[in-house]
Amino acid sequence: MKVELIDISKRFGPVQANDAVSLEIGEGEVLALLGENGAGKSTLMKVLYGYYRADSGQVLLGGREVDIASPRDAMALGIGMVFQQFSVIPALTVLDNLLLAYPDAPLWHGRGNTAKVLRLLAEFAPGVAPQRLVSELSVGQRQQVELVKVLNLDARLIILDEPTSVLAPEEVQRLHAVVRKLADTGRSVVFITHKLEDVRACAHRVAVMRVGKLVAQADARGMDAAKLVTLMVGDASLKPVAQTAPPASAVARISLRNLRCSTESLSLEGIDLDIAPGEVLGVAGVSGNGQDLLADAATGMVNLQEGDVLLDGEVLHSRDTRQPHDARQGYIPEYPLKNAVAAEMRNSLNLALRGLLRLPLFPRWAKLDARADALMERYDVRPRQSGLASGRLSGGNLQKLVIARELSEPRQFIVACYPTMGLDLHATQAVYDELFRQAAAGAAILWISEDLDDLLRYAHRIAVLYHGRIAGVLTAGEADRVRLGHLMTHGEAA
Amino acid sequence: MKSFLALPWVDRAFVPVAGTLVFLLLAAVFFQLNGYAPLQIFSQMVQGAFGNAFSTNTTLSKTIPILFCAMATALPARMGLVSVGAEGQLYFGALTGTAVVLAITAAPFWELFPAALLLALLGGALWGAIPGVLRAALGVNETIVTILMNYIAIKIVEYAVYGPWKDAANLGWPATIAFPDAAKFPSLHLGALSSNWALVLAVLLAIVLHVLVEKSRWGTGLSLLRSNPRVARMAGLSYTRHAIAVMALAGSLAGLAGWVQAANVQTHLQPDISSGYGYIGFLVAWLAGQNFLRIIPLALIMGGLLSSGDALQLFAQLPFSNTLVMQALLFISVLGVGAWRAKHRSVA
Amino acid sequence: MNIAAWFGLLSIALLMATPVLLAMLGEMLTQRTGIVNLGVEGQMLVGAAAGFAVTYASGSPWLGMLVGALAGMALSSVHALLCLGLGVNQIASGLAIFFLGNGLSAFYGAPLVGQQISGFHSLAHGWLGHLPIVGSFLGQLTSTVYLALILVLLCGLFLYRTQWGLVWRATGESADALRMLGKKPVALRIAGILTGGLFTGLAGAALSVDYTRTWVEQMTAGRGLLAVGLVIVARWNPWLALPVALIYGLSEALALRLQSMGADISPYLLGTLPYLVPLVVLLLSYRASQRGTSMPQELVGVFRGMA
Repeated sequence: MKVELIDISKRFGPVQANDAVSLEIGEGEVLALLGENGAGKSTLMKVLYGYYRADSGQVLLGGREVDIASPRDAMALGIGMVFQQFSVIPALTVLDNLLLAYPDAPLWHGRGNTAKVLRLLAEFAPGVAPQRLVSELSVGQRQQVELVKVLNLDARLIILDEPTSVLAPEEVQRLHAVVRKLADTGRSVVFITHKLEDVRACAHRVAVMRVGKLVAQADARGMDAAKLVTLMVGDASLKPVAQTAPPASAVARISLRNLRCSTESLSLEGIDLDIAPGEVLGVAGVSGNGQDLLADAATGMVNLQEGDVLLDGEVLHSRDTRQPHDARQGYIPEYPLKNAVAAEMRNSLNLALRGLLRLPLFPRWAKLDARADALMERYDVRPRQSGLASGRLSGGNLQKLVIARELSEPRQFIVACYPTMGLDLHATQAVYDELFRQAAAGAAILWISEDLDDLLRYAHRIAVLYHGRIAGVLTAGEADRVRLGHLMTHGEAA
Repeated sequence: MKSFLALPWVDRAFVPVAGTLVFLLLAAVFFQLNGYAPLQIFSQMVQGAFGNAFSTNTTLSKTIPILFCAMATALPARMGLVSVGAEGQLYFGALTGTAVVLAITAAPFWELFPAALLLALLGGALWGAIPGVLRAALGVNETIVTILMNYIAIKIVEYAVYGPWKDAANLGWPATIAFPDAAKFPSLHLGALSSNWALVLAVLLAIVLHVLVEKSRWGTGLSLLRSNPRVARMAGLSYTRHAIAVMALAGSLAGLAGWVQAANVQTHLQPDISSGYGYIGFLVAWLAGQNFLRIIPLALIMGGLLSSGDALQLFAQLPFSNTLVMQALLFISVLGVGAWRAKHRSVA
Repeated sequence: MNIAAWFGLLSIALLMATPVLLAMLGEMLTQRTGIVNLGVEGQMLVGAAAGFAVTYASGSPWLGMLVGALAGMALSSVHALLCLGLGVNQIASGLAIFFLGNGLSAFYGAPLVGQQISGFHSLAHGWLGHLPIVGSFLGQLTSTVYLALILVLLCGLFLYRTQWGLVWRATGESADALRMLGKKPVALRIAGILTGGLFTGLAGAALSVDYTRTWVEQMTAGRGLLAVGLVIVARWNPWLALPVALIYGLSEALALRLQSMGADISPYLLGTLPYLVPLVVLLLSYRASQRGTSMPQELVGVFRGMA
């Protein structure tokens, strides 16, 4: 059945997330909803799914107007959504997760009557046993279970919200195949993405959104990649990021030697990496293979069970001493709101964090505020209020604040973990500019990223993390998507 | 209306004033339902708290342990630790202090008092440090541990006063020998009012802690640790070290209260040296928003409430347990109003 | 000790464990929806006072148990109002319930202090007590023990074998996931709190109506708090509730047994055992319970003092 969205508008406070968007989705069609982070694609689909209520506009199903007030309504109408943050519950089994989402689930879970929920499991999630806990599954498998959950509801329209951002290249291909299969069976698919390869691989049509508006629609097959990028990003006044020269000396500035550490759910083993001054060492890997733990271990934020981190030959962090506040080190962690700032505390305090212990017993807060104001001006953090709680800043501005703190002084060792996640292209560029400026001045950079294209473009060498170990390190010349992809999914060279 | 509420002085006064009004309403309903005239009871409460020199002195006497125990709650709270262990720390401090008295009973004041006081501080500090260590090292929730340790501390004191420390001349009454004057806080007189120097000490400590917590780098560190322990690590602050230090310091404050109760008020170590002051202190700290200056008047009001409870039992035949109900209703009122206000402020 | 003595110890342990077991089941159900209720102690106290009062007045222990359970539920509704309705911090709200239950039970229970009731009929003379071999053991247990055992079974089957139980468990893992499925976590949490109140009120009534058959201020002496801690030890799993509650029961029984054997240890020191042993067990198992997916994820923030 055809789905029509007519003049949908949705505002969140000062932000107009959707601005009179009209869109049509045909039966058996794969529509790629393209746009960069913050364009409003997710919001639009969440309105269709009933997760949000539109401020104005209508939704028509098969020509009839419908009122979708909640996800329940959407599901009843045959609309399903697979979210970026999966809603499968790790502590429960696959079977339990499927039963939970099944509207006609039996009240009593006996041995016989739970079979109907598992019908599509074998087809769309091969190799996933019903009794396994979801926490034991890989990210790709969790996504498959999520999809089966949606299909169990006889969904005729399936919305996929940025499904490929967490997958390895092989799994991405598998997903594209599944999407094409779904369309072949007469279902419609809306594929939200900011990657062109997704459009190329399985979309029939592409709709481009930018800052809340629908700016273009086109047939996916005849499209011009460069034109699409321009439509996504707006004016093409994006200077390319200056590529840094490869490091002059081979003597390592930073050495991670035989690192071993673990948390409740992850562990790293035998990490050996050397980074020369001025070198950008990228780290690729399917999400969940230990990336954030590696970043934490390299910066002294977690206990090391074995091994150490050397800076210019002397021990920076080891099992016995950890110095996360060392002034020679800069750290841009994943999820800045949770990991890089104290959200309730004011900007000036968060900016002065690294120097906190060097302040006098009764600090002059006015002086700290002035310093903060200057930094926020330099790095264009808005709103420019040093007394504002940092948690009130938007994603892009928050990351700028973190960068203002970490990269405004020359550092000798910088770890950046997914520093551009969720940022639009301009903000992403700003981050890279700062990072590579430090590299040019001689800093050793450990850069963990989910974006293989960026890694291939800017890193001097790329290491691949697999199940907590380094599966391989490729130089810029050797690395390509196929070789990296194989390392990411198999843990060894092809 | 909204702009009136946005005025800074109104904003700050809203929760205490509205909370108190809600409390008075609930209290009035409670009294009415039980056959007591609310207004009469309220006026008798004020009489019983501050009506004459005797009641005022009783109030001051009860204010001292409440003030210490409130500080013992507020300090960990600044770091995000919810400690309800002041009661047990009070008992344990009294216990260790008593050990000194029993060891050097005949010593002069300048030997006995400082030694006993020091041991009381250390005992309270130990009883507070244990949950701190458990929280820092194992992540065990300190609220549960501190409350359980309260029961254990009381049992240990009972063991001591029913057993090895019982004064044989007591004929079955569980208590130690009477404490010599050299073990007590020196008394303090102001006209008809009489108290002791522990009151002055408590007020001074509250002021000092207030300044440190609000204005110093250490206090900011505590707020940072409460807000985000991980990020605090990036600033070089150790959660473990601060948690243990703060809990030990807090415990020593409650231990001090224990010494006042055992030495000055009861003059013996016995099972009922505290009328739940640990829990009342917890309440006062919450009502004060964990602010050390506000704790001072609030502790006084609570002391008055308890003092009037004695009077009401005598004159109005109102069981003393009504003070427990009053405390709970006050807590609920202020919590409720505070949360309601916070919810509506962020929406506006 | 011979077999009979072991069975004797076990039966005492079961009797003493029952109030804690019932309280554990209640708090377990509450925590499974993602809410922590530290007011269990207060709810047990009002249940004990109300249960005793009604049994005293009516002569029917079952009626007393019912009213005790309802009293616990009524008090727990205040917790629901505060933390779900108004957004009060769960730990603070629970403690407020603790204080309120303590105060109300002391106030209304004052006239009952010193009174005695006869409680439930002994089972030793019925068909249960006359069974061969196990009869003497089974007959020593009281009706509340059997009630508790049945409730353990019902809770286990409910949580792990029914659709409603699945939704209940999911609420404690991820309220967001539930919302995305179009369900309402708040409604489930209210149910969780009220059910917990019902069970803990019942637990208090079991203590006063069946076990001690008297009423004294603050008679629960921390059993409610212990129950909250022991829920963690039992990994929020009803099937583990009984053995874990027995840890408490055995500590109490052992303390009694040592005393009656004339051991030279002060009864007060022995009296620390029922607190120390569960506390130590809690410490030992705490780390392990946080590992993996044992703890309902919604609780993680609450126990760290952040919700």
